[in-house]
Amino acid sequence: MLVSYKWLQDYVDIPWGPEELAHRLTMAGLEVEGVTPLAANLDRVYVGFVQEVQKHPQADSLKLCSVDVGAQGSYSIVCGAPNVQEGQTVAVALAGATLPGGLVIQPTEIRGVLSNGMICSQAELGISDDHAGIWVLPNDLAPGAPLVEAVGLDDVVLDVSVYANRPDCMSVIGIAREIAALTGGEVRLPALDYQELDVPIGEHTSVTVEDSERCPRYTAALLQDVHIAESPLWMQLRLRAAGMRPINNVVDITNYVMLETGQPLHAFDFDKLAEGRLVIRTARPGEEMVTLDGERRQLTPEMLMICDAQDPKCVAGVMGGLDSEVTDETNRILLESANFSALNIRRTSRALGLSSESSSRFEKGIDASGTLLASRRALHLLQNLAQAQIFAGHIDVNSSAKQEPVIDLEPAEVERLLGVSIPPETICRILRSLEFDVVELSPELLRVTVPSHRGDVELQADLVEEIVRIWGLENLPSTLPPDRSSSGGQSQLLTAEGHLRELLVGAGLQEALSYSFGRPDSNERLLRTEPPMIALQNPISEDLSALRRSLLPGLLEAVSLNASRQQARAALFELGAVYLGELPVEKQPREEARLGLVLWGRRSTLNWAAADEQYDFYDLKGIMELLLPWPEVEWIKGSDPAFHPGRQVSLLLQGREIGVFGEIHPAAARNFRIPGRVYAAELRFEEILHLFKQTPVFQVPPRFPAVERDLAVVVDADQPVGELVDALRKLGGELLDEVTVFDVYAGKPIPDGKKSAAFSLRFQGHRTLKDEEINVIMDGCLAGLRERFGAEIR
Amino acid sequence: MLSKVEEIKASALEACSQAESVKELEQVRVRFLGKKGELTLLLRGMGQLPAEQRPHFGKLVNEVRDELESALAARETQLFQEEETRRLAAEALDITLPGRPMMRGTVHPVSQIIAETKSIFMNMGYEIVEGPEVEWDYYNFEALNIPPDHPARDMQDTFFITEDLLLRSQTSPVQIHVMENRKPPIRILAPGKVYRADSDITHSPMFHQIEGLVVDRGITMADLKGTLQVFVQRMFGPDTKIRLRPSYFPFTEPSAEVDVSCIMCAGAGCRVCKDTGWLEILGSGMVDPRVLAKVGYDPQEVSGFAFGMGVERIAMLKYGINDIRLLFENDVRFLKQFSSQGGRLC
Repeated sequence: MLVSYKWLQDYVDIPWGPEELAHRLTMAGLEVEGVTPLAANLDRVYVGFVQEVQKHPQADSLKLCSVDVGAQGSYSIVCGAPNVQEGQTVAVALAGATLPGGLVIQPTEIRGVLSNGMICSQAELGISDDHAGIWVLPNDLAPGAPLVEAVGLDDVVLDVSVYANRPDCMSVIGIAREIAALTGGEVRLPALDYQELDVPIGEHTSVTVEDSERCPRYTAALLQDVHIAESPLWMQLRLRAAGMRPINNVVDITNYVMLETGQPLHAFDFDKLAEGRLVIRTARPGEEMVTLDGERRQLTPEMLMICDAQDPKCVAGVMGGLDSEVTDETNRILLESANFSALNIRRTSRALGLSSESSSRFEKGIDASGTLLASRRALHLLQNLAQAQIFAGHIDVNSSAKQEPVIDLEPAEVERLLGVSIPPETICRILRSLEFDVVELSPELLRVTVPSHRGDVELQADLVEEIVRIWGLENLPSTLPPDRSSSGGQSQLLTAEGHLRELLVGAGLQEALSYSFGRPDSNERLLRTEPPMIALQNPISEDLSALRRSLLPGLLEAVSLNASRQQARAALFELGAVYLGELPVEKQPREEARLGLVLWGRRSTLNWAAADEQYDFYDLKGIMELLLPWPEVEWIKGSDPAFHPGRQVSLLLQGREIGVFGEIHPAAARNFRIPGRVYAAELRFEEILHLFKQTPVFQVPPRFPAVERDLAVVVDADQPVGELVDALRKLGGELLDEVTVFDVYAGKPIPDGKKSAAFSLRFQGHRTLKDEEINVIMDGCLAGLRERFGAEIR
Repeated sequence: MLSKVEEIKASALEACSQAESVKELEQVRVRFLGKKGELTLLLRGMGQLPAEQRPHFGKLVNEVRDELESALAARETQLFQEEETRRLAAEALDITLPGRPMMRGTVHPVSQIIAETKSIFMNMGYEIVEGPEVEWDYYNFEALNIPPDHPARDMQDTFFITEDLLLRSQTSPVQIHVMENRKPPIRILAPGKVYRADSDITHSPMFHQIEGLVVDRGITMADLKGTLQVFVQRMFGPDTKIRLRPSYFPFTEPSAEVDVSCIMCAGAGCRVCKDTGWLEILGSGMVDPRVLAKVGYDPQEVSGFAFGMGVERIAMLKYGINDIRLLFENDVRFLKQFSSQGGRLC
């Protein structure tokens, strides 16, 4: 809420300047987000009086004005505004002034005539965006007076951010109350007095409330002979300071009193109301009305309407109707000051997509006891500023029976929650300064009555908040909780995540983070036919509309983005959940923790020391071997449609698939617009947490020399080498420590359809091994390979 | 024969000093001291001498051999050093060429902030817990004292899956899960992804929060202040100050916004803190008694504090990142800037 500093001063003495006030309010829980001068620096801008207006000799559209600027002298000024006239009091910028738009005023020849200044519009002075003509000031201002002081522009606007639980602070008086609590001062309420006619209001109109749940209170006043005119300058400036546009004196007064008291008001043109009476009811099916903004609104039976004897005239608490608005012809006014259910206003405002200063107050909940005060205040102003005659009394249909709640507060409770003892007398002083009524039943018990405007305060804890925010959170000591809880720590899953992250970062990969939602066709892009993804009801875009079932689409998108940005390589991993649920969604999907990784492009940055090589399948397999060193994991040929049919591995643990990796199918890579081959893996690492936990068992490093033997054999070209390795491991017996493939070769002199595979076998025992016994084993190995795979020694 | 010894000695020493390589020197050794070397042969021919001359002659030859061996050894050392010096000179490399690149992995900045925060709180005895991201309305809102149509729901534009299921808009529902399943004392930290339907340079539809909760007998707001004081000093440096400002959250009462002295200017005022000297980084408060009652705790018996912070906001402040969306694009040029500078990363 935007509020003028000077306006606040009307209701409470403020011992601080605007900046200090802003800080104090912020530290007491009313955050001031900005402090801005109402007007820019307007040095050398004065009040002037237009003595004479002549035609400009050279230009029909320009006028030559003689302006009296009091002690500053008289000036001849060329003016192009259509509304300039003799006898006007105006704002004049003289030579040396710099206007907010940056315009520097100096004597200038305009079409052959010297102009010694400028008669300004509000827009040119930075007061509003009104640039239709010059700003005509009231004639009671003295020519020559500096404009800023003369019209009260020497003010500062505070932008107060009001939390949802404090609708009472969406008003100048509400904020003044907070200031009074901080200063120990008193709030001065504005004038409420006015003269009434002898005729009671009931002789001319009536109000029927058909839905007292949605409308707990409706207070109406009736006025006649209202003189519609502009509102006075001071009121216009305050409305503008609050971000509202002045319309006419009646509308301006309703807005002014709303800003002042927080109670929204509405003025009906009484003569536009059928049968001159109001019915407060919900809309009938099919009813519609045109609101003040000119929009035709479809109404539903949940919406509360202010109606005349026939039709809806106002969307209650949200916006008035066009056909009953106050116009220049209006003579009689029915003034509404009502209380509506916050829930109804909220729902109606949402359903219509329509919010207003009024609805934003009602939907947070307003004190029903405030309707009469606001109405009286508006009547006072209408009588003084629009010469209105006021029928006697109010119609007040009041079913609100809100009691002012009483809370018993123990000062010990304050200490229990805050950790500091605040003396009961300080507690009493603070609560009373906030207009709570406090009776000291005993030193241990205070009986606190909550004022009606503080509907947010219900429990002792709420009072503790009131006390501490005024007492000052900065006075709170810093302590640590007594340590009698668990020793802390984290789950195996999180520990495993950290372990994987360390390994992969060590292996040179970069951690990526993708959105948990993606395109709804993500399965199809991966050539998969998995169950459909869970869709969001209100996504921000189609591309972010379905919960992922795999980390691969996000990572492939990342590769695609980097390729499109001229990057030559990407090696990325991501740790995150996928969302596995069935449609229709009836329960929470299973959130499964996964690891995904992708390799694409150059194996390393381009460099002189090595050939420019691209990542291949075996780079990925090497990383997977680093991640999964456990013999429990089985590595078999996979059949995931997202991957190249001949270049993928399915990882199994006790027959359950725990992951898959390989080259992404070229058709899938094309779907993601990835040039070249891309390698990816996805691992359900929740399934292998128990393996991470295994403790290595120490083995004494052998002290006897190892024996190394090489064996090169020729086998069919499509013979998987891994099968030869497995066979050798068995054939080598207990003494065989390790088998390494150190060469695989096809081409001359190896015959077509064949390949050579070379192995290094290391034998190790807890004694010195003899050549003869190794020879026997090697012979057995070769014989075994020959028998099972038709291998020939090379 | 004695003169022959002197002769051999002279020519051997001469040959030794003339040898220009270790190889040549070896030839000299073989020529004079080898099995068929000149000196060896001379010694072998000693039988031809009269017996009384033999001891003297033998002694003389052995002396010469010792002398020659030490000359050879000295010359060998000298030659080896000369050769090595030449070899080293010839082996000079272009040290200006870059090394073979090692690919440096990086931890995502969001993970780094989470890891650092987890570590700080685990050291204070907190347990790290997680909760579901697809959450019931009840846990995300109602149990946190935010009934349907509560104005606080406006503060968060929530993604819905069904009428009752949503993507959690805050990590606070983890508080409820933990309290429903355990009895005090509770001391937990819950990092995780949260979602709100908003996207611009300071808002992402997915981001991360870290939530803390302590519930026990006698937990006070002063404990909250002290705990957060320790956290910010370990996270941002020992001189970091905190400031509590009254605020409003439906699930805490009293509530406080927590500011830290600006990590860029140490409170002097700069662009990052908009000249205030303070940065708003945390929301916090005492757990609302209505929330405690809802999970079956007695608010008269136990009390607690809770706090929550946005991870991306801290990462953006710490690294000067100007658009939150960069964090989720996975541009490798962005990611590679966040390499480890010590500290706990995983």
